[in-house]
Amino acid sequence: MSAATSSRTKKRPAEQHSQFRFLHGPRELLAALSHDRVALLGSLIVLTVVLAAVFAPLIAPHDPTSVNIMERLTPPAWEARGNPQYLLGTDQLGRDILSRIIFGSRVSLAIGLGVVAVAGTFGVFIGLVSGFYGGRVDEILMRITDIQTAFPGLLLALTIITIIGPSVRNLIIVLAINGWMVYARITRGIMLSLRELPYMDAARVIGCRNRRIIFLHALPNLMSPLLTLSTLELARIILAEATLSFLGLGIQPPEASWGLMIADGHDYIAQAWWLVTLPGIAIAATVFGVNLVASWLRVYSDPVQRYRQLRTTD
Amino acid sequence: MANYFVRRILYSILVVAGVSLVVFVVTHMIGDPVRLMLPLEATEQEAVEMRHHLGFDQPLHIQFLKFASKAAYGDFGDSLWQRTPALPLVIERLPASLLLATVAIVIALVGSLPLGILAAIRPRSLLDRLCVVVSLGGVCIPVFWLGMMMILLLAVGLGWFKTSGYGGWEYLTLPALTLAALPAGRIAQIVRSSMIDEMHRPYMSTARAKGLTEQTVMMRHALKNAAIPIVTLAAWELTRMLAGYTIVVEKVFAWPGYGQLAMQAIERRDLPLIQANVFVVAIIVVTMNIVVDLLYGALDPRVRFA
Repeated sequence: MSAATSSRTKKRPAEQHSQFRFLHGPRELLAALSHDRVALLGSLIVLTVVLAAVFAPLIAPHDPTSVNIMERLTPPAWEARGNPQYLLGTDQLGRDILSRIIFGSRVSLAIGLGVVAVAGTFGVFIGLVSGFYGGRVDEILMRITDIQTAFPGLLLALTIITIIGPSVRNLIIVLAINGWMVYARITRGIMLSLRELPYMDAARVIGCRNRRIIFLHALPNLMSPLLTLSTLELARIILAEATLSFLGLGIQPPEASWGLMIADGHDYIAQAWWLVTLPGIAIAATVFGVNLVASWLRVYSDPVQRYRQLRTTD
Repeated sequence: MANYFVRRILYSILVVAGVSLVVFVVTHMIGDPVRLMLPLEATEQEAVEMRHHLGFDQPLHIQFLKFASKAAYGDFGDSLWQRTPALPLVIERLPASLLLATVAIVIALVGSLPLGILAAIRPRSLLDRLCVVVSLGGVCIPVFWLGMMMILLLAVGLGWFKTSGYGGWEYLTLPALTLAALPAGRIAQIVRSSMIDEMHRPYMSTARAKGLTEQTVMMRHALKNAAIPIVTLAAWELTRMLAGYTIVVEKVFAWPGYGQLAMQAIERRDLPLIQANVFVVAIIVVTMNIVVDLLYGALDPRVRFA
């Protein structure tokens, strides 16, 4: 995604010293963002989705689950038979599409963030232990991650959900089981190289315990790559939730989820194009926005990448 | 080399065993398979009888040994829905899925190779931008939605293809295109970047200095050396299709492969059939992984298996 990483900023050398400079305050964050239009677009999309999710009951024009058979399959307002009351039309039960899309953002974000938190915590922990101690522990843990990476994830997720039943909590569990390995791999890789650095020896020499070295000395230095990875994973999980809901094993009716809305619209595809088209645009736009933010984070949270960027654009 | 492959095969067996173990643990320890398989209104008496009939009232480790020793011979029991052995039902569906995935990966390669090569030759051109857009789409667009958009535009709108079902090209084209589109974007991106890497190597100057035409230099020299990452990614994409994306695409287009069968088995809570399906997919995945390793060696003589 070269477009997202192109930047017109010229950083003063002093700014390159601090790895987390951009995280120091909202003003710096905004300043850095406003220099990169692609990243700005991405963060605006993400902000819109977050606001929609948080204030869903306030901004949704209708109740997302209220059925109104009289108004079923009303096209969007700009079409000939449209009704201005239903801006994006209604579905086969007369429910307002716009309101369902707004409420659907809650599901996507809740599951996305939930999975990133659970899988990230577990995966990073495994990676830290594996990379720090090395040897037999590392060997066993990495074999387990290898084996699990070769699993057919989607089919296994479907099977597990069939047994334990679909719910937001279960979806988070299943998607986290499928997604923790990548955190473990990356954390371990960086930990292996961190372990050899002088400041780790220094920490050991002054008598820090292993736990302290791992969590207070090593972990903060892992934050930048992990932040980028989590953002990328968030985008992937949003897609995965939509897929599971589409297959009927995610969010259950009458709750609104983007994937479920598309599955519902499948039967009416010839008569009502808006049922499948509009929620799909919501998914694609959200994932697009999150991806743009991730590629921006990759460059700006990592001084090495940032330096390379400056060298190529100047 | 032989040593390496013995290890790889042992490892693959471990993976398949791991998958089977997870499925067994989930189905037998977390859920109650009998309650899942019986209709909701079944009495406790019926449940007890079925549990006894299927051997689910025995201790777990004995159940697992029984399950594992039978599964090793490909016996997963009878499908509860079709009342015939489960594994042949899955294998029956293999050709349809393999056909779909093979056609899709061919389409993806045919589409992405020229796009990626041209983008590499002319960076920042319109084609290069197109390459970026397509690959970005590949990351952001849900595959099932893409399939429905194809149905909406090309089948419902223009009437060129059938919306769903199994048969000749008018049935195959849309699901294959859907399955191909997202990998094509990712492959094009790799073609572009690995071609750019190769274009700056010294041997390119040598080739040009010998007086070879630009076409020969690019296709014979650069592309051949860029092939390793491209082939690896294409094989990985094919694995991903077979391990998951076909399920989604087959559902959208009612394509009768093992993915559709898996969904039907899941809807009917047909445990033996689900287990057989997961088992077959796991075998396909580990086989593909070994094939990718072999390809590495075939393409790059420097690779030694240790």
